[in-house]
Amino acid sequence: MTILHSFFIPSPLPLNYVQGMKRNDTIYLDHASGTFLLPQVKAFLTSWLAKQSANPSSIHAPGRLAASSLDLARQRIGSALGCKSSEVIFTSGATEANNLAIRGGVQPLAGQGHHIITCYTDHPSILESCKKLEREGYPVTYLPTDNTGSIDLKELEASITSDTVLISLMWVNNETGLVHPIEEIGRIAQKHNIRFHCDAVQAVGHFPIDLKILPVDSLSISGHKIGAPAGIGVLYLRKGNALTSQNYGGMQEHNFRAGTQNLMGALALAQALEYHTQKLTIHESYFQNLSHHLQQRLQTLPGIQINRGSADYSPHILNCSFENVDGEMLFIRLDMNNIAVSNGAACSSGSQAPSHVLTAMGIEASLAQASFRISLGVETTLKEIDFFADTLEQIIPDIQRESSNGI
Amino acid sequence: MESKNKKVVIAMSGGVDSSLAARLLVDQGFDVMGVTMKLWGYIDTGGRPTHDSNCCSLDDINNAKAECASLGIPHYTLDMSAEFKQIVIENFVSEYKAGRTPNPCIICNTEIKWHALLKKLDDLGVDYLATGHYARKIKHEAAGSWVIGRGKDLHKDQSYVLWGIRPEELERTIFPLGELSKQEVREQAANADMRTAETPESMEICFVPDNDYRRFLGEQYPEVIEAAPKGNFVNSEGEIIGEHQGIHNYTIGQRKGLGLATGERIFVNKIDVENNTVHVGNRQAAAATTFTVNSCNWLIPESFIYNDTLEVQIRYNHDAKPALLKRISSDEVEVTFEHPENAITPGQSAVFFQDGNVVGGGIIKSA
Repeated sequence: MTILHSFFIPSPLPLNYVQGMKRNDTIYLDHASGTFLLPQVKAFLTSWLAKQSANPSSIHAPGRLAASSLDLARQRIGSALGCKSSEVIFTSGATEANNLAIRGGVQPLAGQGHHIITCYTDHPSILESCKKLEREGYPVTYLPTDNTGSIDLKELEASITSDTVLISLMWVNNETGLVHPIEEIGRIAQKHNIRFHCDAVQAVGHFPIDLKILPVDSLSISGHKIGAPAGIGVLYLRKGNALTSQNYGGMQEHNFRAGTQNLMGALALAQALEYHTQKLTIHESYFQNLSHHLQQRLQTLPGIQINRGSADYSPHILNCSFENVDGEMLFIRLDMNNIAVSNGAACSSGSQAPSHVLTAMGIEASLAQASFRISLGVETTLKEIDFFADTLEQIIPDIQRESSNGI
Repeated sequence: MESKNKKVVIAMSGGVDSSLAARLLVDQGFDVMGVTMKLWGYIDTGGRPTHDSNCCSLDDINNAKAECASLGIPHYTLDMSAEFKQIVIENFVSEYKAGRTPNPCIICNTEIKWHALLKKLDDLGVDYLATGHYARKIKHEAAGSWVIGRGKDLHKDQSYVLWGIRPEELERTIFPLGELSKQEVREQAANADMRTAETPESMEICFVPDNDYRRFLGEQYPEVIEAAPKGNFVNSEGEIIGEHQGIHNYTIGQRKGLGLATGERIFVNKIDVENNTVHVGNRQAAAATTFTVNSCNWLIPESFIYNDTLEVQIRYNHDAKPALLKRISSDEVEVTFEHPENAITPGQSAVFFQDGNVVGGGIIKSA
């Protein structure tokens, strides 16, 4: 066996139950949902928790100290992203950053127009914001995708009207890894003088982000996808763009986001971003190598369909489906074998509904319900991938046989 | 029962009963796995969308998940809503359409909680299925097979709704709560600091949370309602005394909501689907001694059935009464009570008890 990761077990638990558990050791292949804290972030957090910190808005000495720490975090993030520190807005995460960019983005532009353009495969934090605005009277265009998950840039440009005020398209799709051509999209937006928001959550650590040259007006990132803790995110907003705060209270974050800042999270996020910026080139080839090996191992499995086409995909995400397989049973079998992947069809309410992304790509419901997403992190090893593939090799024929026996 | 290394699935609703059942199984040394079935969503059923004490809400799934986490056992949510809709809800609708009064909980137990779930979980090497029902598994000595005993807590006893379990599936069933009273269950749950210790009782049909099946049919199956014409109320003299609103609105023994001003207490006695007529009269006129059942399930060979006086229960809150059974065709059994019974209702289940235990049952066809 290979490197395994220990997970927090909720306490209090009677000791005998803990000893009975075989669940401390997991092949974790769900890094796109949330990855491990980087060792240096962990070390920072430990030292931070041993100290005290005041509210950065307080004007006394401890408050000023906290404010200068926050400012440092903002500067470090600005340097890592190639933007000014004043363009960095701290949020609780990318969902809040996306909500703010959409709702808070269109409201000050109401004098110019109302139309929003996004695509069917975007993240729920974008899509649900758009749907809410749609109910309030904002027209929204949801671009379709082809079977690779790509949008047609001509169609994008054709859907722009004199009423269009915002284009929001994610950089890397969180379910399939598909990469949208962000620079080209940004240039189209610039040409028509339309604001462009980009959800870059899954791009950080895999693609260079230099906001000096990247034609985006706003961009969101999240802490727990890159080795910082959950509960911190950033909305970058290019200087000169107006934004309406979506919560009410203090004047924090240039009056764009009321509420005491998560200073510890901000510092951790700065550290994680710096790490990924430095390691980008090394990681690029490491992930390519892992991804290549993963695909090699998987493509020989009976009845597998790798949900990719001839387009660009980030190497850290791979989505696949199996023919004649009950998706829930496959997920349970993997879980029982201590393998953590994302069940593509499951949502928190327990419904096994085909994913909106795979559906938009034209993948039929029977395959979409038996889909899962494998996502790799910097700690993933070839051995882990082998263990995963070996396990699939064992269980897939079983499940396919049982399914064909008429479940 | 040897519990070492035996894998048990506990079907969990997120309430106190199944949660404590899971805990008891873990204490007994079984290898336990919790499963919550997603059977329907408020979006498909209407009713009280903010009410969260019924099964299948997110809170209930999360309760079950949390109870399993505190026991250190895995928990999975299985989406069985397609099966549920296809089997349970379709049956519910077609029974009302046919002027009968269904008991969907029984169909759900038989076909979903036991049959479909066990079939689905078979490939995981599951040995037993457990539920939080108040019932017991008892060996029928003469027949050598398992029958279902009433729960020790007679107020909570649920053996009536379990008659349809196939014998080979009953063999693989565990009822951890059979020997406990509801009060003991709540006490044990409270002593173990379980978060579900005070969850409310669920009394209604789960997918009709507001208990208004007419509202459910009207909202979800308007075509059924539209196709159900108004017709006549007829009294015991054969006289037309009013207009009914479509037969799906009525059930045998119903007194309220008839809209008839006759000056006496009047009950629905019979629903004549063919003539779209609802027969009403006083309670005596509704009483009958003999009726037939079909879709029977037997937990012991039928040779143990027909030469014995059994006790037959004809609805959930009915006291079982002595009766003789006789097979009259390949799919029909005739039940004859010693004394007339009121409101023998087509669509409801007749459950056969021998020495106090469920040995079989069927659906009431006609009285």
